[in-house]
Amino acid sequence: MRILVADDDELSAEILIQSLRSMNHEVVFASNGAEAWDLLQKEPFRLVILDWMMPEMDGMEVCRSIRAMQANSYTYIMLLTGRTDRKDRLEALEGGADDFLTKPLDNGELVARLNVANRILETEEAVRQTNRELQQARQVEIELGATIQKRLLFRPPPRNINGIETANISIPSQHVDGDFCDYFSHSENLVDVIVGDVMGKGIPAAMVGAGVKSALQRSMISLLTMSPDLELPTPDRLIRSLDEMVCGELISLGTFLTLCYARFDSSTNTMTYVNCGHPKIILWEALTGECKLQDTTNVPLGFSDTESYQQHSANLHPGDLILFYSDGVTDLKMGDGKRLGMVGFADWVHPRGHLPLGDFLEEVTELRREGLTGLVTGDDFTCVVVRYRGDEITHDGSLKLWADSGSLRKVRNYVKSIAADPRLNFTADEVSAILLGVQEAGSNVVRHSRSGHKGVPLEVRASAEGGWFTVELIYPGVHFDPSDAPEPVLDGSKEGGFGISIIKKCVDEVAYTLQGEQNLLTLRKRANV
Amino acid sequence: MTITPESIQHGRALVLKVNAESLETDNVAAFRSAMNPLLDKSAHFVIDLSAVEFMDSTGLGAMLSCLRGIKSKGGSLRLCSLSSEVKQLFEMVMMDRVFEIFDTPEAALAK
Repeated sequence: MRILVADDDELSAEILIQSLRSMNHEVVFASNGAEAWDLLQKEPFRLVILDWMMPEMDGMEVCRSIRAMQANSYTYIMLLTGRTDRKDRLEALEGGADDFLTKPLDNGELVARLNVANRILETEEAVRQTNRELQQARQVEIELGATIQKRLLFRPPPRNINGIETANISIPSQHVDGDFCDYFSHSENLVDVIVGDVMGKGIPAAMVGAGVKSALQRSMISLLTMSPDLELPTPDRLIRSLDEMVCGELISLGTFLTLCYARFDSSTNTMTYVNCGHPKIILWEALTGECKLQDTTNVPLGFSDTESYQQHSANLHPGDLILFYSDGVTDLKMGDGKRLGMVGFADWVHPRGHLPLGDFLEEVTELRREGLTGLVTGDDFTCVVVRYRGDEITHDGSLKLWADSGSLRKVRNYVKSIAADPRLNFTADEVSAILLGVQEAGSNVVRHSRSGHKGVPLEVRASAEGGWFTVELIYPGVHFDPSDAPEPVLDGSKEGGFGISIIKKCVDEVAYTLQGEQNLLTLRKRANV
Repeated sequence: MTITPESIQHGRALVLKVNAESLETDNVAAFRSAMNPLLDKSAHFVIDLSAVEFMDSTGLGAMLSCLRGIKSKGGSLRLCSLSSEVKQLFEMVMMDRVFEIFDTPEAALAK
């Protein structure tokens, strides 16, 4: 063993060093406490023998300094002393000393005490090694849990869902949590979004989450197979079946979960949902730009197996934004020290509902960063966001959509299909002029009807009746008065300001009017007879 | 969106082919960022619009911005191979007088 010996009495130090070397120990010598402390800071020693009384820094001071130092291994400290007073020795033990060597040294006692030191150091090392292995095992477990979370609980939404666009974010409080999310796509018009939160954190919560998710899938399959005509079970029927399957287990495990099951039907423009104790769904209405908290009356799953689960529904319009979120969101502490809450979160969503989903979730992440500073530890944080797009082409043949710059191509394709009516007898150039006019009108609507917004709900009605081709654009927001528009600059010195004059040149008639509370822009072109 | 530099051997003008079906509100920012690094490569340019079937006024605005940038450095910009739809837009706002427009890249390089 490498041993540090510190003693200002050279003669007694020499005797000790000789004895230690004769027992095959390697000895480093310091002639006072300060020197010993310097050596200890440079390299670790498993065993240190310090003379109690030394100039500059005495043995007790060095002892306290060693104990105050953060070290990877334990240092065994023996104090060399002539003192036999019980009070002194208690004080030394209190200060971190492990044992004493009494002057004058007795060789037999030295051997015995070194054996004790060795046994203690070996035990200490074994404990540390076990701890390191436990920590490694725990890390592996955490990583495994994070993989379960990613693969089983929170896979990204499928891309081929019709009628809705969806994105999600989930930040666990401990690498892994019990928040989960799932999607069932039944047909072109029907898709279910499921968001849940298991009480508790860590791997146990994640395991319960995975179990509930699989029980939900089993419920769906068993209800479908039991139904004589394979009728899709309603959300309340599904939740009842899930509850029967898992409630007893949840109660015996001493846990429960909140769950929101929402079905989007783009043939009826409705969302049907059951909310079992999850924070209230926020619906941002594209037409009004207002946020509404959706009713909920149900308790979490795992409270009572006789609970009946009530189903609610809400009408949707293309562009509506629907938010599901965990209490990690509402528990955020904002700048004023108050909890964000559901109403606070809805107020926060209000000016941001128009944002593309990726941008929206980035802002949600930023909100979390701000809101976490007021908290000691954050809760699991989940937000699932759905942009309802609907069927777009409606029963009466009009186009209703959430119009952002990327969807104007859809508007052109729709108008083009109706402008191809043989009764209109339009030339190719006439059709392309109409499409250009519609494009300019549509892009003005997107950019200006709600200033600063990235999208707007737009209804487009095109018809070929009575010798005219008519395109109507119906949209909310600021009413536009074309007489306010400046004349375009045609010498190439300005890059914009052409839109209004292009629209006028592309068709025979343009009118900006109102239809109820919405704006109506009508473009008309006479058919070729 | 990508813009392919087609040839530099014909004198000094660099022919740039816009690889996009349309140039409109939705992709005009992508057009500008693809165009920017190429503007240092030459003083004289021909933009080949043969792939562009549709252009709106924001696309036209981006063209005007290129024209002004190139001219301010003493260079030149010619356009070629416009579809009938795109040509119609240029004529409608009289930009056919502001831009030099040619039927083919060869014709644009010949003069």
